[in-house]
Amino acid sequence: MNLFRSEEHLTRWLHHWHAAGDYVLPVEEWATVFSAPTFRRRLEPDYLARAPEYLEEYRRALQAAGKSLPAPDRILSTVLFTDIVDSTRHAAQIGDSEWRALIRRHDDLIRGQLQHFGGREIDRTGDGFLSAFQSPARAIRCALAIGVEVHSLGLRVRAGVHSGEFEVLGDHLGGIAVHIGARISALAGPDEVLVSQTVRDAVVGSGIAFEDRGSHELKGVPGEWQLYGVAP
Amino acid sequence: MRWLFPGQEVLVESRCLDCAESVSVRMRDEEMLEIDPETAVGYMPSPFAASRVGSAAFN
Repeated sequence: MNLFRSEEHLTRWLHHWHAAGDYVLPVEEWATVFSAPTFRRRLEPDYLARAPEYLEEYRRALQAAGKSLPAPDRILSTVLFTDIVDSTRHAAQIGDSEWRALIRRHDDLIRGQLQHFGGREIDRTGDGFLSAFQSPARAIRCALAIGVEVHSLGLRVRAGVHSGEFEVLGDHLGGIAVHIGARISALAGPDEVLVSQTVRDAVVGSGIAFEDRGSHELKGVPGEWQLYGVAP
Repeated sequence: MRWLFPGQEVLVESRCLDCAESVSVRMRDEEMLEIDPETAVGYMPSPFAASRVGSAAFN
């Protein structure tokens, strides 16, 4: 929080810095806002990574002070989730130190492929990655490349791809579409790239072939979801 | 301050970002004990404000 001697001083300063979001309150009201339990989470080491989960709490704390958050922007995008298969067993076999070194090489490899295929790293998910692409075909090709490359490290990954509208929350993506992508990834087998029907329909004409994996319920997501495995 | 220094009196000495004159706040938990000057206001750029959505991560 930035302090100003008065609202007049703040107005003068904002004239030179056109930030949106008018979160201006008398200092004593900020003290009340910050006493809300949600702000205690800022002491947690993974606060930044989990910030999107706390958005609703944060919104309520601001609402109590008469402020509101802007409606999140929504964009059409494609997410790719990758996750190392049997990571716990693998880590136990080789020990913590060697596992950490292996994970660093895995991370470098994935980031290299993201760069090659125009993907952007959004978040880490345990031993996996959440990344975003403008093109679903690129996301699939990136997932296939990652699946092949990690074999050189003695690893196997599962991958899930989903396209949809996502909420943009700072540097994060949010919304039900992220959960769908994560659920799809969790259903993928070793070396498999599993996609939603939305993705399959979007890449018609790309030359990418699919195999029907049937209809699935995705935990916490309404409806039945037809999923497809990418043919290698 | 409740979360960082529960029950303790805390003095925050700062500067106005506009004029660099002093702004100080003395408080305990969320109770305000003294604000100098009394007209002081706080501005919190929100990480979810419109200026920060649509960031480069999602171009």
